[in-house]
Amino acid sequence: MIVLLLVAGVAVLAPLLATYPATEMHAIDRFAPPGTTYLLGTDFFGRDLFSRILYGYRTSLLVAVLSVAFALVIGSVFGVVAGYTGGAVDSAVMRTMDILFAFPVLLLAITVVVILGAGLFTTVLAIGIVYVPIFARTARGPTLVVREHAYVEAAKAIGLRSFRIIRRHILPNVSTPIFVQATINLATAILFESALSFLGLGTQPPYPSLGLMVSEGRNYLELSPWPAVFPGLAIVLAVLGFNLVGDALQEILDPRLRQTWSAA
Amino acid sequence: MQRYVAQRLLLLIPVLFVISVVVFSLMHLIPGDPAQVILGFENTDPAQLAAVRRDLGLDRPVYVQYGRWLGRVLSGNLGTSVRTGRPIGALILEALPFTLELAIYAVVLAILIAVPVGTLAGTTSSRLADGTMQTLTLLGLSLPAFWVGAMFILLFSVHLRWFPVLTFPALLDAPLANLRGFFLPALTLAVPNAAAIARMVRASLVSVRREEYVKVARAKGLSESLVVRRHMLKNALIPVVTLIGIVAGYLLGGSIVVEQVFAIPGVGRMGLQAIVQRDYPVLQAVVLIVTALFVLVNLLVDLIYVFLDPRIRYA
Repeated sequence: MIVLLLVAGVAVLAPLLATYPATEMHAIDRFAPPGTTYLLGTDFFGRDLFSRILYGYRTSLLVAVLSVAFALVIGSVFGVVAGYTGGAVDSAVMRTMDILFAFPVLLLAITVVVILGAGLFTTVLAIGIVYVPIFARTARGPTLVVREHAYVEAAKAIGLRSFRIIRRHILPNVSTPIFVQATINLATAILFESALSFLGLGTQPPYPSLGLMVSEGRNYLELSPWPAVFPGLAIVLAVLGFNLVGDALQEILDPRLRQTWSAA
Repeated sequence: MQRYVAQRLLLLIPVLFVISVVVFSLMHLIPGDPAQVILGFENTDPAQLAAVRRDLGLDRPVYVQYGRWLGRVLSGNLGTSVRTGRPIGALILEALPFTLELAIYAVVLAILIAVPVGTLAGTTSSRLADGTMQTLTLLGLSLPAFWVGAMFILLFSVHLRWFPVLTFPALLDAPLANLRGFFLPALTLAVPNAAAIARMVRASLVSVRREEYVKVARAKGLSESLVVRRHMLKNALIPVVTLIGIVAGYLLGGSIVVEQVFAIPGVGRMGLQAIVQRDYPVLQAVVLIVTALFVLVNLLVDLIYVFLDPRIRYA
């Protein structure tokens, strides 16, 4: 959690913490090593790596949060409606989700980017689309269980409308697994964004993106490894933070895992 | 069992149909006129544009275009690269062995790493050891493949010179050199997947360790290693097989990044180059082939799972 707060704090406070403007070039200080002038050194254009990483975090977290939010809303709506309605609607929605699952995730994201053109918004959409079926499945399972409960039957019996039943009785009961799934997906969304940017299909230069920084830095590994090393470490730190929180949440919120632990 | 297999094979038809529609639509959804893209944006001769449209069948209704395209694909004709003029089928056949070898090699390495690590974590009575393994595997899941690959090149190829850079001889021509050349890319691809498999092995072992048959095995006086190998692992590995299969499928897609880092001339890199060169028929073929392989691998995994787990086989 501390790692996560640190990463989020750094991303939010990037303009205050950055020692140089992220795109400012210092031609005489190209490939400067880490030191007091440039905390983590500079890249091929003499840009300060520390400042670029701070802004890179902003991009990564922004894309991750927006794409997961998009998938969470769309996927959960599909999953809850499919689970609550059942029958033909359930079949149609879940078979569509199965089709999306049939594509390798990175290839699907790349295809979306190729169709819509590379950019920040497209990256959000590409990653979001890939995650929609995951949230649909996560939401549908508990909905199928909750809709059989007596209080849902009672709500139907007194004539409450489906929308109200879903909002008041279903959603609060299915939100826990969706929340855990969102935390896990935030971690993979950061990896996704950085991979797409690394391939030149995500955030476009000169805007700082951690994946793009590794991509640029790896061309000069023999001259100076720092432009590739530090942005990569920054990605690992952020992803690990989300993974640790997701893992802990899963253990806390899933009683079966807790029992397994105490039994082990 | 036979009914289940038949059912799964039948379900494959609509899935492959929708995939074919999506892949076909790719050419039509990409912004701009495909004929203009093929001719180049500097060429605006209406006659030439019309000729290219006629050759591609773009002047016909969309359903006719789809029917003709599907007919060609089913007869093995994936079209021609607009950049090189070569048949795409031949290009795929040249690139596919690299991608398949990379994926298979990575699966083998992932299993070799994951099973001992997961077994250790799942059978140890030390909470510290288990916690350390859990954190390490989480770290493995948090590593971006493109960065790990770059760091492997920096450390093992540039500094230590243990592995060659960008050398991928054919497996049959020079087997040892091939395995050496592919080791770092395969390891890069294997690391996060090994972490996922190790976590599954651990979780499965933890769930079977208090089963009655394990208690009976211990009560019979069997050594702990025999209990683990004969009784626990044998049952715990059934769900792991599914995950390994899923991983194998994902490796086909995930290899795009690793092929790019290590400049391996596989299908993934071919697809990326096709994007850069706007060679959309090649991209279309890459998406089709990789997705079809992915679906088939997943089907195979489901069938293996049914075969391994008698509870499903006789259900």
